[in-house]
Amino acid sequence: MVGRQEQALRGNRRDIYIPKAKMLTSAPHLYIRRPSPTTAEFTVTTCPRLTLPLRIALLGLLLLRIVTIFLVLLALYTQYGAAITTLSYPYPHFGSSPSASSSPTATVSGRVGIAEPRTATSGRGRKWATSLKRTNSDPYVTIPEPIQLVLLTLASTSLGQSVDGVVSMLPTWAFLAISASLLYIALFRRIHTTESVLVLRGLGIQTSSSSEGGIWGLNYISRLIGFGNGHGHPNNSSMPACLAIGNGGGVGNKTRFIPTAQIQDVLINEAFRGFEVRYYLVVIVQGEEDVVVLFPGLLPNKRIVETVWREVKACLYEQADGTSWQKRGSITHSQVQGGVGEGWNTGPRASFEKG
Amino acid sequence: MAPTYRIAMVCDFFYPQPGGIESHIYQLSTKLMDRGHKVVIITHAYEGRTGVRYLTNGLKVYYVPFMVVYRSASFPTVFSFFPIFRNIVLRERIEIVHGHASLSSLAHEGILHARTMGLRTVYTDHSLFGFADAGSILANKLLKFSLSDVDHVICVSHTCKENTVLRASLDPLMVSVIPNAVVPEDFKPLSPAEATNNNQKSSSSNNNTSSNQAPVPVRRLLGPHDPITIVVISRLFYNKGTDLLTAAIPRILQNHPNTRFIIAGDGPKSIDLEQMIEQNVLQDRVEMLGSIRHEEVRNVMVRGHIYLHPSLTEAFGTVIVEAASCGLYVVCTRVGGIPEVLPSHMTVFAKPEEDDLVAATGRAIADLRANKVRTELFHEQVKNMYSWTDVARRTERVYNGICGDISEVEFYGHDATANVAGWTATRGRSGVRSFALIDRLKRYYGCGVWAGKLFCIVVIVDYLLYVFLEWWFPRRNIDICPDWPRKNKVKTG
Repeated sequence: MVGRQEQALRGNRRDIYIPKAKMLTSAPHLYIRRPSPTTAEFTVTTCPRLTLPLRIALLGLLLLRIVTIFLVLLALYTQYGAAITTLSYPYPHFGSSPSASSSPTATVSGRVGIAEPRTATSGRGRKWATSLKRTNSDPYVTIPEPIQLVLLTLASTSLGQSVDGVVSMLPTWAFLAISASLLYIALFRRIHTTESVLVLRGLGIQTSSSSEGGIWGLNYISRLIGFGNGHGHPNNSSMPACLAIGNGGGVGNKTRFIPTAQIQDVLINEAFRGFEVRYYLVVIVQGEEDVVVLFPGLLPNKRIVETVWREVKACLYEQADGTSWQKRGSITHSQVQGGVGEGWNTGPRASFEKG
Repeated sequence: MAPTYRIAMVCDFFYPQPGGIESHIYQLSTKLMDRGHKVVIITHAYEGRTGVRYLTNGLKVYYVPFMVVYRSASFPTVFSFFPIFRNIVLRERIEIVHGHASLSSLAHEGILHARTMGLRTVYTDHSLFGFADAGSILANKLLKFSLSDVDHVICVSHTCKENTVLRASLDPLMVSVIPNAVVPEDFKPLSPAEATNNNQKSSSSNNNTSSNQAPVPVRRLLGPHDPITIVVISRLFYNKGTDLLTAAIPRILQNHPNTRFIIAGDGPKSIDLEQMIEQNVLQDRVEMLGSIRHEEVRNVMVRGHIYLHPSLTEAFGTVIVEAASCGLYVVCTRVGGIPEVLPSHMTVFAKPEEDDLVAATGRAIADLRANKVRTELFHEQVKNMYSWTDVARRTERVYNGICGDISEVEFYGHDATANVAGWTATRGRSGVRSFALIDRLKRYYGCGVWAGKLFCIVVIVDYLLYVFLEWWFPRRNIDICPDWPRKNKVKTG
């Protein structure tokens, strides 16, 4: 794992527990950053440490996403491209002009602009072909002609033909469903979730959650490749890319700030979730009926929850004698195992139920 | 030093719902915790109460979200409870699963799953069942299934034991009798101060309960024309003998002037009672209070002199112990486990029929008027007979026995082990004591020609589900709960 020296190098960041990475993600684990004695940031993430194989795998995944998107678009174009085509195709067997239609060598499925019955067309193609007569001269959508040209050329290559061949075997609803879900996964699914809690003494608690690993984060991609890693943390190039999310921002980043005056308490509770009983951290906010759950998406295990709880308490409230909780009694494993701390909720106040 | 265990009480019935089984589980759990054990309670969710709660002393209750079908019993889905049950058992590191009540499907499922997981199981039966009607036959078959593979069974009375042994074809040696108990502090007779308050019709009688503790009970002497109040507290269902009550009340009141009734409780038969009151114009002599809370029972009881219990079937009848503890003379039907409960000088027995009930009540009234009954002594006597501490101690002995912490000779008695070589009560019907799946199947197979095979399939599916869960939700990912600081903590082996 991490050598002591390296830990010292990284200075104010501490790793609590990094489980072994599975494929591309790991079980939720915790990073604690303490820029000053009165500030602490707790980050729980499923993004493992970026090693070279992992970087390659992630980049490969990115590439796979792009290829998937491209293929889906191509398939869509071969099926329904006629509606947006204004350009007549330069080759005689393909195009919108009825005069160029009778060639029996037409292999490019000839959907586009073919009016009369053909041998190599599927049902979808014919349907479109009949309606095309009307729309041909006045398409609903116009796209720039150079792009049309590229698409048409691609559709006529062997790749386009094979895509079309595969797609023609599927019924329409299946084709649409598959392409929609593929597009959704390739565009919007993220593989890593990061949730963090920033505690500022005297100010309050800010929670934020974000997910990364999609194709939208330029920061993320550049960090994968290795440029500009770390956002002012030159030493930790091996830190997960997601950790910079607080600084760099990400897509779908949700934050919420709770001022100290409104925080009644921070405590650990238990609740049923799915087929499990989980521990989770809650903040009781004055004037709100529901409690605010920290790390709501990841719901990390008890060890993390307990560590964060102790440190949040220590950071948020200064003790009367000026020392923080941490200095008075360091957290040892036996303590964690031993007994029930004062933060264990025994009241009916927080009844959080999910799922 | 005595070994301690981590015990899970599984039952559909628990607070906030009031009732005998509920308070039994609560009292037993708190007393077991006083003895240094760890106890959690697993029940299904009630309206507005879902999730994990801590009660007094750190008694932890899991209100598992479930569907309720009939009289707050959950829907018997056999397997759907397993994933969450396993999670709770693992995170609390449970060693003994103790199911309660034969109508609670949660308890039966819990016992089945616990055996699949290789835990020790105990089952407590609180009720009597018939053998004749279709519902009972089905219920008995299910009980037989569930008890095919249980380590020990506890019944609340000897009658109940007899009934359970017959219904589930058990070896009588693996069934213990441990009665219910009462909390004597909650059922004190009227103290003199309260009595004077009552005479002045003061309403704040219950406030003095704790402050005035008369060390020597005062004897209340009844004159020949003093009014006698008969109290009935029961849910007004058929099996509680409400029909008998409806028939008997006019005759009793006719035979005995200066008597009146107080009836507390609610149920489908309350309409019959009200009709009877209307028809006989007894509004001034019969008072119906409707449903009352368990805390108020004592305050109702101490208003009377006689407690009438006309139940048609009863496994134990905690309420007559409570009545006796309040210093009431008890008239009850000779059914089920009731004759075992109280000594004869506290009770007048009747056959469960109208004439005999009227006659028995008449005898009781005559006895009281003659001042032959020392009701003021009942409280101390009951206090010595029934205590939850004692129940917990005896239950703990059962736990010791099934966990092998006391020898079989000590647990089952010398004769049992001496007669047949290598005999153990926990072997069950097939005579094999083993947690191996094949041996468990042998035990279930004996349940019936078709039922046996069906039950075997259920057990196999349960086992496969267990294997699947071990793979899908691995043990190492389940957080272990820290134990609540135990009383006089002892090291667990």
